[in-house]
Amino acid sequence: MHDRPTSESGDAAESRASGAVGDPRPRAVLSGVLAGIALFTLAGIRFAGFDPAAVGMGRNTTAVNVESYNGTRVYGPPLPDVIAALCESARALRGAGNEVALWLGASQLHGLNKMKKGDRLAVHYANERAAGRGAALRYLQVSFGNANFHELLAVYLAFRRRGFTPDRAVLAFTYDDLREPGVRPDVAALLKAADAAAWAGLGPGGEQLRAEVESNPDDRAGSAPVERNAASGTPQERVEAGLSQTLEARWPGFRHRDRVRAGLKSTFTTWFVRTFLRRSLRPVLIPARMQSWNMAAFRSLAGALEQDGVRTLIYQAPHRPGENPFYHDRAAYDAFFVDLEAFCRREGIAFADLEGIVPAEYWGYDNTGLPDAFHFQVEGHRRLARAVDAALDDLGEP
Amino acid sequence: MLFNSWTYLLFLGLVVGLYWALPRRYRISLIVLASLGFYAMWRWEFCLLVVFSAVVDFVCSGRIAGSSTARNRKRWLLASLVINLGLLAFFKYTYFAYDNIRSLGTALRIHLPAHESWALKIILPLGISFYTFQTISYTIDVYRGVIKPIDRFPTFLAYVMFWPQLVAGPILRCGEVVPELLARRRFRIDDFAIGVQRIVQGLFKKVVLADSLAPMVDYWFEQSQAGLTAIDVWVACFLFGFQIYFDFAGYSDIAIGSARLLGIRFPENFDWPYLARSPRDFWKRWHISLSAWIRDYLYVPLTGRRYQVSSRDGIAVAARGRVGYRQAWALMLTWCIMGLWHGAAWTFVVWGLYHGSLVLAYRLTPWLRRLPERFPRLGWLVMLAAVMLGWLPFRAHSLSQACHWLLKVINPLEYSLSPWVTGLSVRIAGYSYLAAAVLTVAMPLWHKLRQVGRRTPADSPFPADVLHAAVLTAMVFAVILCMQAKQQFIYFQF
Repeated sequence: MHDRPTSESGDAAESRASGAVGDPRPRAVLSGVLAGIALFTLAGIRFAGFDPAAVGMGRNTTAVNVESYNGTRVYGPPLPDVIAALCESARALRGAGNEVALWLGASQLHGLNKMKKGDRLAVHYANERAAGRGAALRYLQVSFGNANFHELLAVYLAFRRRGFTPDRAVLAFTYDDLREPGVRPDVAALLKAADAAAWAGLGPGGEQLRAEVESNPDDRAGSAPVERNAASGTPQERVEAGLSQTLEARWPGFRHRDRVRAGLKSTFTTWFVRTFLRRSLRPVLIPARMQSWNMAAFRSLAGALEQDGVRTLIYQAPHRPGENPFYHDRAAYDAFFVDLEAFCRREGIAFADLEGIVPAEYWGYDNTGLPDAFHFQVEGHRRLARAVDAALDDLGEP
Repeated sequence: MLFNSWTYLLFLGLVVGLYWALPRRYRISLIVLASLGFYAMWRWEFCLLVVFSAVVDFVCSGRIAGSSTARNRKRWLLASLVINLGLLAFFKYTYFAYDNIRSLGTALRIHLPAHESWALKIILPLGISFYTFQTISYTIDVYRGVIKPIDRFPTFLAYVMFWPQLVAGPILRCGEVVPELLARRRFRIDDFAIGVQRIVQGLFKKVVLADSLAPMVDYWFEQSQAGLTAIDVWVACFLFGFQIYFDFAGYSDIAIGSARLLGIRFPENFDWPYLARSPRDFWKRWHISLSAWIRDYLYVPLTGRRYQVSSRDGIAVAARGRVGYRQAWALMLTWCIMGLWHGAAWTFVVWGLYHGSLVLAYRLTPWLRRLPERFPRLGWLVMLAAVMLGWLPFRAHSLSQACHWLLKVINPLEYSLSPWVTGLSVRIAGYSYLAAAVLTVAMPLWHKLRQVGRRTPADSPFPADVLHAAVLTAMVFAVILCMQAKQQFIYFQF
């Protein structure tokens, strides 16, 4: 059996005297606490001038949640109220005599690097361009981080459930997202209680999606609501805010604690990445079963679009040119898109290779200070919008 | 008031300073006022509830002691129990009971409105489960003749409301607290140092360790079960096991340390629980005061055994010997209530029954009973896995999630690395695996290092003082860096 248990403080249970074996002595405690405070103060002074943005840390890439064009909402994440709002937008746009193109993809569509006031997303610029060339075509977008094809299929089916099918569809194809598994609960919730007709004729990808949706735990029954944050809206919250302000005013180390955190994180991250990963925190390793799982969903989505008579454009998403740390096997990446293009040709789907349309100077850092290979600055959004709208223009009238 | 806040540190400094500055006769009043202020920093109106509960038990226990007949004594005891448990049931279990009635009604095609539509909004008072059990223990101890009733209400109120243990324990007996509150004592630098060290240690466990694990745990439990592998489930269970341990043990450290600053000694509430080699051993190490309370006020009355008079040793000292029918059902009922005490949800009941079943299984199965002695390391591994898996229903959003995840664990085909990890899709997934592995290995190593440290000779080149100071320096640095008064303690919601 184990030794007679001793407490975590080191107090032996039978000893009632202070200073039992294992207890720290007052001078150790005092020096430890004072040294900790001093060390923190020194760290605050050391990192007082640390600018996270200079090493690419901080909010380099901003995720935009809402985008409009001429007062009409044209973009949002995959939430029921957003889908409903975009259906309303679609009705209004059609009422004005426009065709509607639904643009689906991942965070490249709503992530803005080095965002400034007035910067807009590609969907806004695409609408601008279409209007500028006199086309009766408007774009709506749903995008969310690392969206895989099961999730994009779910979004499309969610629109279908609400009685909306677009005239055209634009699908962003990001090679990296082929490794993404699962359907996040918010997206699965879009299709909860969908009837059998919603799943009909979708093929293996649709069946997999249905299995995911129906297995998603959304039942929280039996949990009694408990006020979960014991400080929110309480007198303590107000006192704490006042104390923090006072500490910031009088204690330099405390004032710069965010910079200390950022500085330490930057130091550790850089060391860790350079030592163990050498190039990137996200090298592309696509497990074969994930790729085939996602491709099954892609085929189901392509089939559903064809079934609904939607003219579709698939494009190979832009990537940061030049130093390209993301592909261990560039040959596999290229071969994949050759195959994809061949598939699109066979199925009568338009395909556009947009990999290199955004020059290097319009990319930046991600929020951990590493080169961002996916999210460009506003000029990248303009160029993407131009390329996509031009490609749809080339498709011609139905 | 949250312990992990600058407000609490300021409050503590002021109260401790006043405590030692004031004459002894004012100390009880100071404790009462400080405790009221501590609780009022959350919601002042609920102070009235705690005071009411204290008044009820003060009056009832006085009447019990003053009654000449057993019948009267029992009446007053029942009055106290009904009022206290009635309040607890109202605030904590009304929604739960109603939701279950509503579910039954739905099955019978009787449609009842959801409780969200009620005009009455019930807010769970902080610490109600803890202080209710504490006052009940007092009344029952008076009834049993273990203690005499306290004759001064301020002293009793100080015992009930003593702020370090008011909202999340330890659940202490009157005989453990009141003599400490009333003792003549002078300021001792050793007690003060130990108190400071415990507080720093507790804050480190909470704001650095537990709060760092929280996002990882939240991430896994929000995933759809279809995308998870059995290893993901184990990782999530281990991470939550460590999160709740650091969170709750951290709170207990701060509570014990805060009391120690006043020279008041609390018994320990945790004793390296994840080093346990059997269920009995685990319940001697985890939330010891609750385990002891359940032993003396629930399990023992059900089995007719002799009760203890301290909040030490947990339920294990009673759960031994031959297991007859009475002991078995008492065990399961006890753990069912233990689970329900933690929360108004069937997931907590399942957690309780799971642990009851573990205890029963070890008692009824000879080879399991001998496993910790004959194969200590294997016994430890088996117990660690069992305890960590037990956290699954505790943390799951629903029974169905718990069941789905459990099915993965018992299916050998589900044992593969997560696609999130192999594809390095989500950074948090990879960090989760790493964190679970590091913590599991580090825990017994740290325990070993502490034992070695305690045996270090006085003339060692690395005297204990230097090590203590170095560790405290690092902890203080990390605590200041990470402390934000936003993340409440998990046990606040029980």
